[in-house]
Amino acid sequence: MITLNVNGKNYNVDVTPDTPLLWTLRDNMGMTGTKYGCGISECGACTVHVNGQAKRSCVTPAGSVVGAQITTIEGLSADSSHPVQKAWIELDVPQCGYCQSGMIMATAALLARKPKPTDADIDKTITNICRCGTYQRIRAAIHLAAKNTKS
Amino acid sequence: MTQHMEMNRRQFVVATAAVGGGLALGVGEGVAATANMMAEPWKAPPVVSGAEINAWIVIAPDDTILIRVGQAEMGQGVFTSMPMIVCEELECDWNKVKAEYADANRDAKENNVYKRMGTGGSNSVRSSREYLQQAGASARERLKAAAAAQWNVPVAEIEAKDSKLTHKASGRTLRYGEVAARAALVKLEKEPALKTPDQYTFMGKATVKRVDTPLKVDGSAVFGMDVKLPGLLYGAIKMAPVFGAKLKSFDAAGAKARPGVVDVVELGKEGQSKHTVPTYASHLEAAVVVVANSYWQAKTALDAMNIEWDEGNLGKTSTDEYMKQAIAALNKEGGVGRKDGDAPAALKSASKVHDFTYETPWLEHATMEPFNATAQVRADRVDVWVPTQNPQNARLVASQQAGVKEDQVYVSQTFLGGGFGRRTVGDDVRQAVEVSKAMGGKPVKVVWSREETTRHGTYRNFAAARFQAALGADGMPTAMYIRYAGHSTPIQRQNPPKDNVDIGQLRLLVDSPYQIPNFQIEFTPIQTHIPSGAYRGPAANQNAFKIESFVDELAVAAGKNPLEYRLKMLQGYKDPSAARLLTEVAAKSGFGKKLPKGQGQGIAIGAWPNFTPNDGTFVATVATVDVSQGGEVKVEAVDIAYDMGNVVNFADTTAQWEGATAMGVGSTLYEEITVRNGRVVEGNFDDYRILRIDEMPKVTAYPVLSGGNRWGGVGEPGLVALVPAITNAIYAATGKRIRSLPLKNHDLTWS
Ligand code: FES
Ligand code: FES
Repeated sequence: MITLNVNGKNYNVDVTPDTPLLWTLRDNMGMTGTKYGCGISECGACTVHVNGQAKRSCVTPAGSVVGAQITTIEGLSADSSHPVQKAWIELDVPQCGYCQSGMIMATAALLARKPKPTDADIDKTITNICRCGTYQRIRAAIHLAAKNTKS
Repeated sequence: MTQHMEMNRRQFVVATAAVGGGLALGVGEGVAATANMMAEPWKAPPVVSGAEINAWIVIAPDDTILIRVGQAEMGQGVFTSMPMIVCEELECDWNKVKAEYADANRDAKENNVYKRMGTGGSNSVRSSREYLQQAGASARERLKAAAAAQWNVPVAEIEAKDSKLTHKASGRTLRYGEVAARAALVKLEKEPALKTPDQYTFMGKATVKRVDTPLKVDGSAVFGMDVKLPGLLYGAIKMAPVFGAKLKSFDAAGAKARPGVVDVVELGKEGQSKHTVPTYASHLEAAVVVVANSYWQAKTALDAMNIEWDEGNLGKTSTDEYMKQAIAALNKEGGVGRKDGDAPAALKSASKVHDFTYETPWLEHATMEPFNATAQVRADRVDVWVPTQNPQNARLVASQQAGVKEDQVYVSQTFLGGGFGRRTVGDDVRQAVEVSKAMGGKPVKVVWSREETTRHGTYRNFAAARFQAALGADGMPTAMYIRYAGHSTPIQRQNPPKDNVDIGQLRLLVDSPYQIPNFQIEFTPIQTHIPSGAYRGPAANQNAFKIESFVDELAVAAGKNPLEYRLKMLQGYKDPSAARLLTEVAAKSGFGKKLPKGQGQGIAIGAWPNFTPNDGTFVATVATVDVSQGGEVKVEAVDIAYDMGNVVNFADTTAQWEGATAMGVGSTLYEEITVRNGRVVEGNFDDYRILRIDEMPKVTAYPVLSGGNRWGGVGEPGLVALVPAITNAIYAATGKRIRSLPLKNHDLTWS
């Protein structure tokens, strides 16, 4: 049994400490917004925030984030009011949508660190995969979110 | 118009009654307030309880309108575009429209009321537009009739608009919600005529935001992977690494001793698979499934298990070997797929024959959501939750495997994390049903790892094609002779095709719009043990590369501009759209402008599903590339001119061109499935590389619509002309001609 702080609440979860955070969130805590795409840190579909930093939860043992503040897509905002979510809605970014939780979490962490990212920053940081190929809109939505974020 | 009131209890179906899944599930937390559909898309939003006008439309007293969608939402926006078609005729207020999946169980019980529920071939609009317009028009006329009866005035005096019925002369109005219950009882003597495209006010006019977006930005959209059920068990699966191999032995006891493991199930035993069509992927492939309380427990136990397979001779095969067979076959005559004039004779008498061979590899769909399905098998009822492109096929597969009637199967169709043709065959469903059966009817979700997903695909098939041509004094081709050898297209077809010609595999060649007096095409099927199937733009996605590369080579040989050369080859073709698109895309992209060495533009034309004059989608593409001296390719820009006749929703259409471009640029640069020792080498995104954001070109799509009664699809054509536009651009940039894919296998350095 370990205790995790997810989206501001403490949860006691019955997993071994080496269980990836991804599967702990999904199967043990019922938070399925965080997705499994590859399991080897290649695709970013499983991105969450750990103490505000983007982390790929498929390769993050649950035991390693005990005591940390974990944020998932479900906790990014209560009502999809985060500037990144709003930009995503405004530009209709998602196609199938499967990669988008990870894209949004990766973007939110980038903007927290770098409120006005350049295209080069985006290229370097947003290494998530979208098989539907929504990259053009993702880039536009990142710039839009940056514009709409009050600094 | 006279009308009859007729009692029909079924017309009063209340939309909140459980359809589809039927099991009580907790609604996903945090469903965005603005969403006009449920996170579990097989369920109607609870606010819609009202009168069912027909199987597609329910109208609530407060004017909320529920429209059912018979196609699969895999990212292409059908939850928006299909209701738009209904709304066009229904004259309803779009802001009050909500959507849910049509129910495949009801379809079984009510004589195929939802018609074609399979999604593929870019056919959603093409094949369902008429009956969806009809459903909307019919409902509108019945609403009008009910109002006319209430006011005792002729129907012709009633106007329907924005969910309101108005009698101009008396100034009276009624809301749709006020008359819906009575409209449901109206029987029309004659179905109304449909609007023609020139009468549309909504389709192709409004840019409509997607109804599913809110669910896809807060994590609430339920994909197959996300299905939750009381008492749900998780299955991790390992299938035979060599397609068609048998299971020899495995250590079930060791796995069962591990934490959380409930059982180990063997699949593929003699007689266990209840399929009717004996092909790969329609049957239960040999596999071991570890069932546990969580996926991670199941997967780790499976990974630790020692499994032995009996591979037979299949373990000696390879893609290299199959490609060699195909290339050897190009020296022999094949079955004739097209014969105009006498190309072989014309070549024999020509002073010079241009003769090149083009090769294309197997590709994996790599849907972002790995394969999975959930099933619960009870004595009188089978439930399946699955991200399927075809719930009718899922229903059939589940009924076969569980031994129940199709109307006892309930398919809850989830959102699909990508489909691209892969999610059509039901191999996932058959496994889940069998595993639930083995677990005494408990609900089980069978999950494929990314590696299993990559290694057990129904791949885009490979092909080699030899192109020969002779040019006349004016440099234009007088004869073209194509020999084509490849895996016969769909997995459903295991036997060689009729007369040895697989016409489906010769798409864009047998129907080529180029005017060549002597034109012959032959096909030789190559049988392999590698399963292949539908893949976004089947055959077209590789044949445009072959013929458009060859035409480019001929233009160079003739010393002509590749655009002018194509336009000349199109002279006399029955559909002017082809030439128009080339001209348009050339103008928009500045095709032909001077560029420094290392940069270049390539042009190409394509179609989906065929070059049928005045039908389907035609597309012309210009790619602008930059090749570094070190040989690294960057596709900078892709300009697309397209003619699909009419468009329902420009927002979705544009998104499809953008997305297909990303997929096609990635496959051109990197993608190929390699088989060695009978098994697929690539397993995950580290060795099956997918395009990422830093490699995404700037995509601009220009509609050049011919209107009329032409309706093309948009899911697939974006992968067609794109590929040769890129490779022709590489030639323009470097002088290196690409005759096989992907580009990563070529040395493109220059100095
Ligand atoms: S699932 Fe974690 S990076 Fe792909
Ligand atoms: S939207 Fe489908 S994978 Fe990104």
